Amino acid sequence: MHYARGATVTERQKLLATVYGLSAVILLVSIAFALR
Amino acid sequence: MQAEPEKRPPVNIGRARKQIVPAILTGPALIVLYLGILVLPVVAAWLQGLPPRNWRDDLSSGLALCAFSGIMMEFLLSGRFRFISNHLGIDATMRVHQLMARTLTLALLIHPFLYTMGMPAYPMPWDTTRQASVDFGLATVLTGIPAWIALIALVLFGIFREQRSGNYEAWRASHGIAAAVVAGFGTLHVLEAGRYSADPFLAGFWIAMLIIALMALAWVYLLKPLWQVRHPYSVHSVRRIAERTWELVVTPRQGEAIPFAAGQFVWLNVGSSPFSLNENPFSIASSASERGRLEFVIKEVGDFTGSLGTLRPGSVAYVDGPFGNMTLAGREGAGIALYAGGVGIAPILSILRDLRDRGDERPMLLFYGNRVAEQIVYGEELDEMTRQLDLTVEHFLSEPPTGWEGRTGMIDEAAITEALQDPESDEWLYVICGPLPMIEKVEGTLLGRGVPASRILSERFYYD
Repeated sequence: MHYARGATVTERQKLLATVYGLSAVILLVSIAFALR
Repeated sequence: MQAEPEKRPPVNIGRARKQIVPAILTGPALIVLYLGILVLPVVAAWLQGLPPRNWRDDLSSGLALCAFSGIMMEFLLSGRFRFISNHLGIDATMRVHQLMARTLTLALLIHPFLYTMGMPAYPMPWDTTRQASVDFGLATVLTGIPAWIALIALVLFGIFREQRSGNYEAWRASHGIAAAVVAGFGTLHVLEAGRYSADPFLAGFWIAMLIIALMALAWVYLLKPLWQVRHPYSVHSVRRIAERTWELVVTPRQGEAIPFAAGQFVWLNVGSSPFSLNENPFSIASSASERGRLEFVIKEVGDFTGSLGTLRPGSVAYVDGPFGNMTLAGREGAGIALYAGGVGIAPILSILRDLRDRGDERPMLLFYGNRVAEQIVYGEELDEMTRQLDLTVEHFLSEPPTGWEGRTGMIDEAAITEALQDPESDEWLYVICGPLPMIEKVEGTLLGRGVPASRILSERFYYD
């Protein structure tokens, strides 16, 4: 049994960049809110 | 190079593709939507105009607001909703679910420790906007602590599951229950304790998110099984085809099997109630043009797969799908190179059978790695395909028997490079399915040869 998924290397690289970007947005928005 | 392949009508890749990508919401649009919902609570809190507090207190609130919004969206990123997973790709959907869960959990776990204000056991009546105190009353604790503990449990269960591949059903049950606890108690917590969530708009937002989360759970655990009751399949045959490897064929009791694109997978439940959790993801191995049956190649790894030999023809089965993006649909390639390790041959078989049935004339290459010869499945059919398609098949065995005429060892860099002498090989499509070390080896070699990353498609059994 396995998770059968599929993505190209490029798609995975974009995905990682997206997730890091989203995590950074959470932090930056929270900091901006804290320093308002 | 070989005899003219048998011509058949084009298979339903177009139909399946149309079904899985109706294209109202594109991947980027979904990400923008996700981002908007993620930051909406903080923006709404900002617009309330309440006086700022110490930066650490408002950082805590900001992190909690963003992170809890993200947690609620995790329910839609479970991979079971095709309107999302088939646009982002199920690989991307599940990976966003897993990786964002870590960020969101971290933010929620540290948020109570960031507060600098006093935490009186009862709200101070003069501090109506909670400017000077954090509510630490019984209701706050009794709602926040279970959600907090359930979050930790979710992470620990996830790590435990990555380390031990078995016991899938127990993991799935615990994951659903813990997620429901996080959503339910978390919503009560933000409504009870939140300074900014006391605002009617934000309170309404959280209740709407809770309803969506619970509907997502209800869809997966209740409504989808109800639909499956009306669309059952039967076990047509089950036979051992190699060492610890079984072929399972199911047929719909009424009508045709689900349309799919070769390389996709379904969630399969055999012999249990559709409301049970005995459901596992398996790649379809049959051709997409076969509308009357679905064939699977399954390796015994414990739980359900260990009981395949006890299944009897006629047993009821339920199918949820198709899911997955390791398909050739929508991807161009002057040729196709396929790399399969062990049971990773299942989706590769589907792709090859589909190419055969469509009479595809492009050059193809299959590298198929196993430990011993007894693990090779459909060897004769693959051999036959070399005459039906412009296909070269190379078998690799890490423990070859005496007199073995195929390749020995693992699928390695030298073999991969040697096989790709076609001057157009940079224009080929490369499809890899198997154990992680094999995937990384093949991907690394191809990237090293200058193959564009966008042409290397892989399917990973597990991450991390």
